[in-house]
Order: sequence, then C-alpha cells, then structure tokens
Amino acid sequence: MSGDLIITLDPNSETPLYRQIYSQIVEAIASGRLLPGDRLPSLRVLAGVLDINYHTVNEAYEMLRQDGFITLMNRKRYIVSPRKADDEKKKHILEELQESVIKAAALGISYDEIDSMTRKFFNGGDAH
Amino acid sequence: MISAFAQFYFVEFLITAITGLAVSLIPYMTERSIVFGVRIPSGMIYNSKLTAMKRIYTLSVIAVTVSAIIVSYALRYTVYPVIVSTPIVIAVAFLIYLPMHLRVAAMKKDMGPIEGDRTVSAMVASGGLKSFPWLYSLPGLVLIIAMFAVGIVYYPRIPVMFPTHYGISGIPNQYSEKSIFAVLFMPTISAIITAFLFVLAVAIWRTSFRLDYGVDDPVSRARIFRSRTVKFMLLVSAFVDSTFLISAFTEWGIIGPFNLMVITLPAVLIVVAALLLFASTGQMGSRIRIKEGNGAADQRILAGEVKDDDKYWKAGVLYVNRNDGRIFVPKRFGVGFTMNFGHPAALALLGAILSLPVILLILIILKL
Repeated sequence: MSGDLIITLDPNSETPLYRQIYSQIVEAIASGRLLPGDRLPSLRVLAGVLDINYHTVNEAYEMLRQDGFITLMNRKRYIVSPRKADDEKKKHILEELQESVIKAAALGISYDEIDSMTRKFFNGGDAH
Repeated sequence: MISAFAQFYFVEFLITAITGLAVSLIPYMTERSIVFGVRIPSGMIYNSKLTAMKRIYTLSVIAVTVSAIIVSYALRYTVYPVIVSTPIVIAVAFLIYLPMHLRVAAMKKDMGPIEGDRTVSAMVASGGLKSFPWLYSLPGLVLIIAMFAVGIVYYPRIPVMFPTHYGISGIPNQYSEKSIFAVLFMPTISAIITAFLFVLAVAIWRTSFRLDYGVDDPVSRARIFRSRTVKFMLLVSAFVDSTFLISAFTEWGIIGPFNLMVITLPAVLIVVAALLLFASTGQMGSRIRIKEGNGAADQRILAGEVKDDDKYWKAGVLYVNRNDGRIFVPKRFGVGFTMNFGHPAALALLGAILSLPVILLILIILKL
C-alpha cells in the first residue's frame, strides 16, 4: 500500500541511527511507497515515535534534503521531491554504481543476484 | 405501552452494561507487549500471574457493572436523573486497574531492564490524505445539508412559539420564540460537532505510531486498526447528526410526538458498534485474524523487543512526552487513541473540548 512510511531502527547496528533513517526513506521513495509530493512526518513526530533524539532525525532529513530526495517547504514541512536527477547528480550516482558493480563482480557475485535485487525498484519489475 | 420512564432506564442500563463489558475486557484487547499499562519484555508474556490478574480484573469489573445497574435500579424513584452509573463503573474499574498496574511494574523491575541487544523501534507513518476514507464522511454531510434545507424550506410553517425542550414523558416543557437562529440552532450545533469529529479523524489518519512485536504482520494490523478507527469516527458523527435531525424535525413539528426511544437509539447503536469494533479489532489491531502468508513482516520487527517507553506513561494511562510532536497516540490500556499531554496543542484541544459544553450553555442561554 502506498502512502505509509515504515521505519525500523536497530540501536545495536553498526550503521548510525540517522543513516538507518536516511536509507529507509530513500528505499520507500524508490519502491513507490512514498510518492513525490507526499509529506514526511515532522522531525518531532519521528523523534517522538522512535524515541530518539530530535537532532538525529534532523541529521537524516538534512542529508535527504542535500541529496535532493526531499524539499523543505515553509521551514517545517518536508515533501518528497519529484523523481529526477540533474546531469551532474546522474553522473555521480552512475559512477558510484559502477564502482559497486565492479567490486561485486570481482567478489564473484552473479549478475542474476544483482538483477533480482535491483529489479523491484524499477518500473516493469515487481514494484508494489 | 412501556412508560417513558422505563424506556429511559432501559437505555441507561443498556449503555452501562455495554460500557462495563467493554472496560472489563480491556486486558485482552491491548497490544501483546503491554499488560496493565506496562511495557513488558517478551519473557513475561506467558507469565501465569499476569493471566490470573487479567481474569481477576475482568470478573471484578463485571461484578461492579452488575452492582451499579442493580443499585441504580433500586434508587430509580429517589435519584433523578441517574446518568451516573456509567462514569461510576469506569471510575471503579480504574481503581481496580491501578494496583494491578503497580504490581506488573514491580514484576518487570525484578526482571531487569528491557534494553538489550534485541531492542528495536519501528513505526508506521501515514503518507497523506490520498487514501483517506472520504466516502464515510458523506452520510453526515448529507444529513446536515438535509437539516438546513428542510429547516429553511419549512420555516414559514413553524409556529411563532415552538417547543425546544421536552420532559422525560415526552411532553414539551419549554418553548422558544421563532427566529432563524432558534430554528437553525440544532443543525448548527450538529454541523459544529461533525466538523470537530472530522478534524479529529483527519488528525488520527495522519498520526504515526509504534509497532508491537512478536505478532504476525504488525504493519497490516496497525493499518487496519487506523482505518477502522477513522471510519468509525466518521460514522459516529453521522449517528450524532441523525439524532440532531430527529430532534430538529420534532421541534419543527414535522415528526412527532417526541419519542425518547427513537432519540436515544443512535446512542445505543454507537455503543454496540463500538463494542463490536473493539472486540474484533483490538488495540493496534491485536485481535485481527491475519491470513497466513500475508505477513510480509520485517524480520527485524519479529525478532525485536520493544524499546521501553514506560517513563512517558503516567500510571500507564496518561502520555506525557514533550519531545514527541504527536498530539494523538494509541492508548495503552484501552482501544483507540489518547492525547499527548506534553504537547501544547493537545492541552489547547483539551481546553476546547472542556469549554464546548460551556459554549453550548451560553448559546442556549442567549437563545432564551
């Protein structure tokens, strides 16, 4: 179902909390659970429900904003941005991706594994 | 023919009985990780002492409910009007709850803190109003429009003095002078209440909440729970509107004579519907039967323990958290939502709700 954001935090993970929030929101956007124009919970709501520091959420949202996934409106509403990247960003992401794919190939990860992992995030795949 | 007096008591006892039953069943309706308002570690869920306490609570509250009905029936000719048996049952139930809450808190303390390497937080947040059940707000809206339309069309035919208050026997004991304000008073109040409930429903639709663990598919449960709660609120406002419509039509002389049974029927239906919803859904959907294989639950959610949040819950029932931006939070001991009393907007809303009867009173006095 679209429209709902689900965030699960593991305080014992090596990944810092703000990074866990960041990647789960990006994943929600990629999988279509969050659509452009959807409003994210406010900083204080997210901090309250997850019972974590306000600044941790702020750090995650600020990073999402800088990376162009969300936009800050009227100083307090965080809105999911349209799904498009400018040429520079596209180039940067593709370079990063290439590096990861090369590493994966070098470590013997098969094309099929990468294919099944990535397919669900693109149209025509089994995206919900 | 049953007397109006008997009808009044019948409705009163029915509401007390249903409310008492609902309150008595609360321990079986809460999230699994919450017992008597205390967040318990998974190791305590099947504790036999807790099972026994739940049973004692339920039986005690049922006994209190039955006693309250018997006592108020015995006092029926001396105390009037007896609309206090329901609040009394709720108050006594709380007094039974409180020592049990403290007992569970002490048991948990003996077991040591929940915080450990399996502590996880998870939440569901609504993305927006695109999927809001707008259709459910339609019946209320239609009733309000109908009330205003009929009131305006029928206005010339309403007598110069028309009845605005009825005794328990159904005979008018108060009349008002005809004016647009006096005639459209009922529809206006109805519209205000409907608008208020609608705003509450939207706020609850948009709220975020924490998920419970150790249950199948807590995400679907939470969504179904939220959806049913909001739909119920919208239908409640339609029921309230229908009561106002019947009252208004009686005042205007379109239908009549005044019948207490008809006027209180929506209230009884609401309470019955609430009980059914309550028993079939449970808090956060804890009682919903989830189909096998439907549980695409996050493995991290299934494996985790809930982060301890007892410190924000005073006596296990009052949520006070200044760092939480939410106004509405799911209840801990009960089914539905309560307010975050650490949020300034919640306090303002509470003030508004409490002042609503005062405003109504002023309006009624102004009208006379």
